[in-house]
Amino acid sequence: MARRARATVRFLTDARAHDALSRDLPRDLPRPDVRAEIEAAAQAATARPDFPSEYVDRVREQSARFALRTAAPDDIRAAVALLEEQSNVQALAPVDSRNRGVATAKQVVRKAVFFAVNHLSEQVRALGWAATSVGEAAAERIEQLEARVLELETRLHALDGREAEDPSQS
Amino acid sequence: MTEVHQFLPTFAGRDAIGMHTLRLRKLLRDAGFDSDIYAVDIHEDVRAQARPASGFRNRPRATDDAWILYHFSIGHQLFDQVRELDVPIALDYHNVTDAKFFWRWEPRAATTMLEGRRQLAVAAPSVRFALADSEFNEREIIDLGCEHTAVAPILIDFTDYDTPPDATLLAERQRTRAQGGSDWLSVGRVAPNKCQHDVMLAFAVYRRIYDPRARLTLVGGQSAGLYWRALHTLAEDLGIAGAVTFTDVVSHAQLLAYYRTTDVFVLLSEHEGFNVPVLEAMHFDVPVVAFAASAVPDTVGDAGILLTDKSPVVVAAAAERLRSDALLRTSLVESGRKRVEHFSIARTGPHMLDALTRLMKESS
Repeated sequence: MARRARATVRFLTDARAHDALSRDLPRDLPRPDVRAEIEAAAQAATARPDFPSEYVDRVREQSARFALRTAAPDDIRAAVALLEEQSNVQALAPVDSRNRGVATAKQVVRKAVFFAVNHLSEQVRALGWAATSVGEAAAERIEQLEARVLELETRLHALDGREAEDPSQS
Repeated sequence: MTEVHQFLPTFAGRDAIGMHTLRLRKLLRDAGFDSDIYAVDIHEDVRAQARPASGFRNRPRATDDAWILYHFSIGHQLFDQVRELDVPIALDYHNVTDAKFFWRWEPRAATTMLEGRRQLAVAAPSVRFALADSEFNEREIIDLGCEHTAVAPILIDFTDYDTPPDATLLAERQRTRAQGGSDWLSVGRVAPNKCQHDVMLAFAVYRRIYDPRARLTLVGGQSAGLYWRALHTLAEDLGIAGAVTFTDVVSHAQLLAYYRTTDVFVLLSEHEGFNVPVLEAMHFDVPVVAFAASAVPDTVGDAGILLTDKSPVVVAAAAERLRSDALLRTSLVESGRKRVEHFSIARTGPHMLDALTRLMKESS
């Protein structure tokens, strides 16, 4: 059975991804002592008995809503999952405006052209799903080929080992 | 007379690049260059200060000794059109925001950012030279193949901030402050790359751990409607809606009132090409806590607390340290004044002019 397990798009709120985003930060920043003291104070705060753990957990959960969605350059499954997510286009455009009249006008226009925009967005969504299928098929094939290459490398190493033990076989 | 004309897609008098462009034109004219500003979208407040880009070929006093300085911060067809003119082009590179920050909130903006990166990659090796607001920007433009470069920061005239603040707003905020609780301030377009959500998350934790009466003001217009709405929902969900003010666009006098009634300036942006507001905060003796990403360390220097971890508990601890440590606060304020002096137009103006004339000569 083809592996259809969806890769999880990487959210930059998890520790690993956060490190990935932060790795370009400069090392030699001024006031390193103050920074270290602040980080220690933060650590100490979390150890306090009155530390609001539940609330901070809630804050962390909320941060996931704003997480940057990216796929690592070598992670084709994550890239496909991202493509799938981005393909879910919406026909309803935002109608916000500082000017109430403009907001109303936008609502009227949105309603008037909805049948056309919706038709287009359905097709874009279908295109997205088709592209996702291509991506999944490619990922599947690449993974099969990678497994085959690995298997062949293992056999080659085994043959090399045998040849080293008995040179008359070469 | 040598002509050095500035081009930019949108010319607005009140944004950092718009003001920089006006100041640079004055510098150029004072130095004896013939200099005008050309743009596609010219805002009403500066209508008389610029010419339509389409009129460049028929400009008055045209000579064979003309240069174009293109302010690059976003993708725009104007850049392709400018490249077709038979005039040497230089860039003033303000950086292009990474599209990844905008895809889920404002895809149209993301597209212009991608287009900007494409145009830049193609053009960087062929432009005569590039000025960059910061070392961060300069590294990017060098990596793209531009051979002649110099760092020349955005021109800021800090005397503009010595005008009276909005008296009503100032009085109102002073009344609120008299009741206790510290004030956090973050200034800048409300945009996903600027991560105002991280500021709110840290602020929520700060109120819970250190100062339940603290207030946060987010000054800046919206650039992505969905993100703007998500921030309002976040404030509700975290129970801090009553303590967070979204000002949207403010007048200059209102901005001054906000700076004058603030305890800490917080910037947790992931992507900046320079960032003027941190220097504004320093001008008003407001201590700065910032995330050390992109060009932020270049601008902040040693005059702020630069964090490498912006998890809410760490940012909250940094703000609390500033509240409780008067010595540190004084040290930061003093360093801030020096930083403002470092970026004053009295220094950066001649530096920019020197860089510009030197690079024009070297790349001719």
